[in-house]
Amino acid sequence: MSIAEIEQEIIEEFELFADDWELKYEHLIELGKSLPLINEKYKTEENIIKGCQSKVWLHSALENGKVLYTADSDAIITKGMVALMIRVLSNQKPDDILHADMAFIDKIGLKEHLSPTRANGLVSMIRQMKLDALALSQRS
Amino acid sequence: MIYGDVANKASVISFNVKNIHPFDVGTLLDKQGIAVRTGHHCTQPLMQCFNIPGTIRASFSFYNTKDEIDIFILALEKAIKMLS
Repeated sequence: MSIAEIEQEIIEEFELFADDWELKYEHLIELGKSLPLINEKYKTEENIIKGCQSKVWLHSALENGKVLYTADSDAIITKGMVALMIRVLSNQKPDDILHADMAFIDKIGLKEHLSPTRANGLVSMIRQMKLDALALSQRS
Repeated sequence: MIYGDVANKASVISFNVKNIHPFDVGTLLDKQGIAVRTGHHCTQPLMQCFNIPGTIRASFSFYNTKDEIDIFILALEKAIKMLS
């Protein structure tokens, strides 16, 4: 599936919750449990994303021209957000990752996680995923 | 767990819930209309000393009512239930 198709799938999935914050966050917590976990050996200081109130570790690798992301976080809601980012961007071509606008975050009502005072970690996370994709594509 | 227990302590209460990250509790309190701060509160050395990622901090002022404290406790209980 393309990035746009996955984004659309997530938007439809979250439409089921309408304005029920409780169901939405319960779903986010569940998603956190499905996160493709980072190998313990990559859980290093240098793989921590700066600007997160909660810790996020991210690892990126290039396989058959596509970027594979794994991650972890010490906070479960953050983990859910990270799982969403990975679902959209992982297993995609570096060029497509670089051009993703991630507009679905606004559409599923989780924009507050993008505000600079709240959890600028998510912005840093997306930036780091794109930087890694760029670096990996230059190396190949 | 409440941090800080000196005599004459003011109405600023820093706390954590066992095995739950302060950011998670803060997010779910916010969704229920309760404003608390979470994080280091600019005291990173102190957080390192306690070996915690941060705390949740409820600050009460002269305009807060007892009812609001009850609402806060109910919201906190709900957040903990969702996160456990």
